[in-house]
Amino acid sequence: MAIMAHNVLVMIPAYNEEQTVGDVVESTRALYPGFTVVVIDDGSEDETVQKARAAGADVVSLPFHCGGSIAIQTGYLIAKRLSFDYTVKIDADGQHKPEMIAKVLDPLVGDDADMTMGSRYLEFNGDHCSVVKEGGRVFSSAVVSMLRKMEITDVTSGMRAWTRKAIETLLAMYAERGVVDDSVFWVAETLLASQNGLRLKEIPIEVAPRKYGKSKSFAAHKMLLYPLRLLITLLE
Amino acid sequence: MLGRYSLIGLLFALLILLLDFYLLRKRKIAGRGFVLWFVIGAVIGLFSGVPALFSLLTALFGTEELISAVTVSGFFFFLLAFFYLYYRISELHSQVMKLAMELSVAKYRGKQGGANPQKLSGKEDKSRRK
Repeated sequence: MAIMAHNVLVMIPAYNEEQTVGDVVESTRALYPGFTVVVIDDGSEDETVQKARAAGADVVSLPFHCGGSIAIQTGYLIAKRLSFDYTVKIDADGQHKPEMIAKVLDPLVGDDADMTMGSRYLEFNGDHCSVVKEGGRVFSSAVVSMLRKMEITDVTSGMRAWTRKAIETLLAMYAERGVVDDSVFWVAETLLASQNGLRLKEIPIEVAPRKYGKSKSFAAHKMLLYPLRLLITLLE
Repeated sequence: MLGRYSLIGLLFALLILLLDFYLLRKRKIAGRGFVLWFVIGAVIGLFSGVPALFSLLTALFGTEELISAVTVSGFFFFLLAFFYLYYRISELHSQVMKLAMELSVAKYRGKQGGANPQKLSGKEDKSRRK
C-alpha cells in the first residue's frame, strides 16, 4: 500500500473504554505496523490507559475528563507538533473497523481532498442506531449539505482523516473559539472546514455494532437539546 | 403607554440580548450560555413589555404591592454582574481546556524526547519526518 510509506498518526480518543480499546489498538497496529497509534485518554477512571499501553499504543492522558471535542483537538495538537503527514481518528469502542483506515486515507494521499469523512450510509446500511440518533444524523446532514451546497450523508461520523494542512487550518480556528459542545463538534468542524476552503470528501465505510456500553455523545437527554445546539452552531 | 419600569426593563432586556449575540458572534460564549441568557433577556423583555403579566406573579406569590425601585435596580445590577461572571467563567473554562491539552501534549513529548527543552517548545519535530 502506498499509504504505508507516509508518516501517519492514528488517534483514538477514549473515555472508560477498557473493554474494547486493547482490541482496537492491536488490530490497527497489526494492519498498519508503520503508523503511530496514540490513544488520547480523556480522564478515564477504569483500566483504559493500561489496556491501551499493553496493546502497544502511545498514551496521552488529559489531566481530567475534558470531553470528546477536547480529546480530539489534543490529537490535532500532537499531529501538528510532531509533523505527521496524515492523521486518522477512529473510535475506541470498536465500531470503526481499522481496515477502513486505508480507505479514508487514500483520497488524501492522492491529493483529492484535505479532509475525508467516513460515511456509514453511502454504500452500507448505517450502524443500526436508534430512531432519535438517526433523525439527528439525517437532519444535521441535510442542514450542512444545504448550507455548504454539497452532498453530505453522514456529518456526525467520527471516522475522519486529515492532511497536515487541514489540521493546521482547524487548529487555528479552534484557537479563536470557546469549547465546542461534543454533540455538535463534527457538524461545526465540517462547516468550519468547508468555510475555510478545505476540500472535503465522504468515503463509504462499514461499521461494526457496538459491543459494550452506550454511546456517550448521543445520550437521550443530550439528543433533546441537539436541535437547539445545532441552531446555535449555525448562528456562530 | 409604557411606564418607566417597563421602559427600563425593555432597555435592559435589549442590552442583555445584544451582549449575548455579540459574545456569540465573537465566539466568547458557548452554546449553553447563549441559550440561558437569551431566555433571561427574552423573559425580562416579555414581562417589561406586557406589565399585566406581573399581576399573574402577584396572584401566584400572594403579594399585593409591586416591587420597589430599589429592588428593581438591585435585581438588574445583580443580573448584569451574574452575566459578566458567567462570561468570565466561560472564558476561563476555555483557557483551562487549552491548558489541559498543552499539558498532556508536553508530558507526552517529554516522555518521548526526554528532558530536551527544544522538543517541548512547540516547534515542529523534524526528526519524525520521513
